[in-house]
Amino acid sequence: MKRYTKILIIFLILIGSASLVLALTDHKEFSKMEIKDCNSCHKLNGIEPNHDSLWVQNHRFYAEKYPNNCKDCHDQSYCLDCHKGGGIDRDLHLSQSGPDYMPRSHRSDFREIHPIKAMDDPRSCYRCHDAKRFCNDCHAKFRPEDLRVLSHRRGFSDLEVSSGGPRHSTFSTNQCQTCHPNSLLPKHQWSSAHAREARKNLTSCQTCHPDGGVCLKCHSARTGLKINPHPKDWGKISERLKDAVNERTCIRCH
Amino acid sequence: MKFQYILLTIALLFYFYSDGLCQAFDYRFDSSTQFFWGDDWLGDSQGIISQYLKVNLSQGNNGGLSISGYGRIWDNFGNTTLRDTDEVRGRLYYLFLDYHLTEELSLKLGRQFINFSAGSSLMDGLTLDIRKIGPVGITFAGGRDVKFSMDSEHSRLGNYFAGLDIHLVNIKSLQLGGSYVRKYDEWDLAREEFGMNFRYLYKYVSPYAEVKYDALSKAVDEATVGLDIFPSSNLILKTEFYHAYPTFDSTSIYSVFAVDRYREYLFRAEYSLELPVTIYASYVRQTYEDNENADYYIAGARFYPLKSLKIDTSLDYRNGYGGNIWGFEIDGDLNLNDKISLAAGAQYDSYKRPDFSYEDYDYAQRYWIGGRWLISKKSSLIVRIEDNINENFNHRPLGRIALNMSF
Repeated sequence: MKRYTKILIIFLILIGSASLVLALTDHKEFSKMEIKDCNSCHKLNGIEPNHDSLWVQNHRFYAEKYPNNCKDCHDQSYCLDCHKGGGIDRDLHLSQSGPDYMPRSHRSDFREIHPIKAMDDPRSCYRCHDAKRFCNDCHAKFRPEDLRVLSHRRGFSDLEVSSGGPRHSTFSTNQCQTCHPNSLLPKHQWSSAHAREARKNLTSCQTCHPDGGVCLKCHSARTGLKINPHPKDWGKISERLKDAVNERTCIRCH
Repeated sequence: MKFQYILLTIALLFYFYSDGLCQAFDYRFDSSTQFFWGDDWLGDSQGIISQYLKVNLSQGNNGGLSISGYGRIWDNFGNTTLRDTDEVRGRLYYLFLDYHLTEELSLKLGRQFINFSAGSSLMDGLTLDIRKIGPVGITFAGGRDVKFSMDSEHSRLGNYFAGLDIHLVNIKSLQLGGSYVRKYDEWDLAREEFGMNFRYLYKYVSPYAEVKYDALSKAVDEATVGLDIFPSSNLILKTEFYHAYPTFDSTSIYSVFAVDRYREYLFRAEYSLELPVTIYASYVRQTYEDNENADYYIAGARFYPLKSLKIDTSLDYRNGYGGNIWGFEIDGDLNLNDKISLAAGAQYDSYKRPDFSYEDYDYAQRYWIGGRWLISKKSSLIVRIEDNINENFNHRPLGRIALNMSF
């Protein structure tokens, strides 16, 4: 209770310390002005300049503000044209993917370079695209071997059980424990490489395996190797997740 | 009939029966008819006709009611397998009624985009905005969560969004808001997030922050803390720390997997010279766990050699975990006269993804040129063509023609 009281006091102090109360400036009359002219006026009047060269990355801080000035110059279509691919009266600079317009961040051959761009914070993709389905709509149309994901090129399926022996792909998941009791694996490169890759960019797994079925071949508690995939603090968070979905996710493995 | 088509039909009814409405409302209709052609990413042909329509009806200064709508229908006559081409497709971006009950209270009803620091949604629902109760304002939003796939909508029964934002209003120099969002996936609680945004302006310094906390995963899944400094009228400096921790809908199996956090440290400067030239540069240190990092540099300039000519250039280089890439972009805009403007650009990227099994870099190029002709005050014609040269295509030309009209 003391903690919440402190937060409330800080909140009130912040309000009290704001000395001047002014109405938000109506910018409708400036809507046709060049950005460079806006900012020269802003800076001279001690107002923070915006719409600068980093605006695409930073505009969300201003859009979250309530109330904001965005609608003085922009309709909601301005937001959705970038976030949802619309294109009424779009900028000549923008290219298209089918009927959808792509923002300028999708430069040159975005199909080939997007795996690198997605590493600059994978969350940035999901500000516009639905994590479960948008990526898979396209990825599902490619052959997995063409996608050449690092860990997939060292798939355990192709590893031979022993030199000259049968490959792992010839066995069923029910047979894993026969050779790997208690989920023990030899220290081969693949198991640690795929784990490191998945932990760093689990969202990329979801782009081809939206329901995660392939993960459960080894990570289910029922069959296969039964490797525990949970984070270290799982005990602290599992109850909340379990209650939220009425155990719907849990029963896939347990 | 799908929900999106019902809403599109309503929008078209407004369009065709606008005479009566126009007597009661100020109105504006924007239409764009577009034809796009060229091969898709797999090399199959596309020929797409799209019709956009945007509607704004308002009572102007005499009342507090307005209606806004925006949608698109399109058909693909090509033989692409990447996109669905079996029927005419439609997408309703928004259609809502905005009603100001009093000066301090307004509501929006219908499909609309809502954005809180805790989460955003395109939803079919209601937003209630209480502009001022003392020093705070309150915004509530709730409704059906709409999700688009590439060619359709896959919202399902039981997918809902509900959010509440409480924020300071009309306090000079200070932005402070907190929000709470819940998202449901087929009636199960998929997301529960708290968000906070802050910005303060003191003379030439502006600290800011944004934090998102995932209550189901009990983790700060996104945090940004930064400082903008503009010591003179022609210099902007920025430093920023960003933290991300991937979290997933609780209904996804991925929500139970262990993940690593991602962080970046950004430094940036933008300087306007006495000449009509602005230059900028930034450096980002990206850190992943296990001591794996990447460095990302960007430099660019904007010139105005003539009053009617603007040129933008940028150069960037990324090296480290996740792949290497360097590239540049140059483009220009030229106003020939009051009616005709031209634009052109070139992009080049040289890249090496970590999954490449060979040492050489691949490259990708795009060249484009376009023009806009203002036929009249209320109509314009746009033509644009581009060529793509890359690993998959020796040449991949694309083009579009658009006729825009307002009335």
